[in-house]
Amino acid sequence: MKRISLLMQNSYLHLALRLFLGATFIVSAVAKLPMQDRFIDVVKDYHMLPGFLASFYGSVLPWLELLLGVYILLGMMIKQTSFTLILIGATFMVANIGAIAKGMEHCGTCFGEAFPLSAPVALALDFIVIIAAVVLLVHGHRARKLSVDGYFERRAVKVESQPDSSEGS
Amino acid sequence: MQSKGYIFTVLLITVITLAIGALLWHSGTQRLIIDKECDGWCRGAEEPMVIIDAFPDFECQLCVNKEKMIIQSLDIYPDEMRLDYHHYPYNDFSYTLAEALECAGEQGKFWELHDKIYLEDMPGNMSELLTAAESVGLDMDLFNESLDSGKFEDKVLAEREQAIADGAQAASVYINGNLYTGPASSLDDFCEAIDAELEKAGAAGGEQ
Repeated sequence: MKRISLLMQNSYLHLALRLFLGATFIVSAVAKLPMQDRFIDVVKDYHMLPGFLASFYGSVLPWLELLLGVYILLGMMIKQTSFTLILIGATFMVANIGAIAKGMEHCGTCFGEAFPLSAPVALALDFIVIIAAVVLLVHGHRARKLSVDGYFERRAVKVESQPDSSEGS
Repeated sequence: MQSKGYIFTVLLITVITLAIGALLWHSGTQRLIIDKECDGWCRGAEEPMVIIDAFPDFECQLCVNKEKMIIQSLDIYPDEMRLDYHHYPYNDFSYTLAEALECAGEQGKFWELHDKIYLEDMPGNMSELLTAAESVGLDMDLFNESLDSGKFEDKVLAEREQAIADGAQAASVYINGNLYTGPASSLDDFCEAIDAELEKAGAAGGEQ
């Protein structure tokens, strides 16, 4: 138990999780953006949301995936980004469970045609995404290795620790 | 309180990311340049006012729904509309099904097998495909020989490559070159889109 706790605090693990989440969401967005109309079509075809909400979700999601993917990859607003990724991952899980219940075998739009995934594999990936994002949400304050947040924090500490030159003059 | 430098960095990265996203999005919204002459598998009016270019994948339920809708609309617009069917498989068995259609085409029964699998039962494996092929009256010895030889493999691949080069989206349907974005299972919406194209064509004809 202690080992797991130590592992969860490992900054290299946090970096690996950030790279995994960033790459996953960026690839997903890159696959969806050029065929956004089709993606909206697919969301509507799931019949899980009313028409206008399905259109809104299908229109906004690829852009959100791209932004959040870049944010988490570069280590910006890690906690807030992780929280949003958990919410998005949960919507993916609901959609994939619905797809499996309807007998659909493939998640044709998860990563577009670049990496066609079977629905159970897509569901497993959603689960891993949520777990990774939860780890970053809980230990986000430690996930500072090679991150924009970490860089600015170190810079702020450096500035504070320097003697105020105006005091001496 | 975040520093100005941090806020500026976040804003800069956001703007750059959105700009890259816009480029990606724009790359997919281009109009399909349609071929007015039929040089593949076409069906419908000889001098159509509306050309439907379909790029379905067999294992995509959405494509099956769209293909059904197109077949139904061919009966509604027999003198105005033509379907140009393009192979665009992206799963393993889809390639086999595309080749099977070509093998059926060799015996003059492309559309019979097409309608059988899209309108009735989409084969999920080889034995179901052979049952479907047999039920449309194909010479099974010839069909098996053609399919086993892989003689249409290159044709299917070339057609897929051509579709990608033309800018066609996977699993999409274009009406006179415009991407159809309506629901995949609403014939009314599809007919509305065709009517709009017919109106445009009529107006253009009236101006001449």
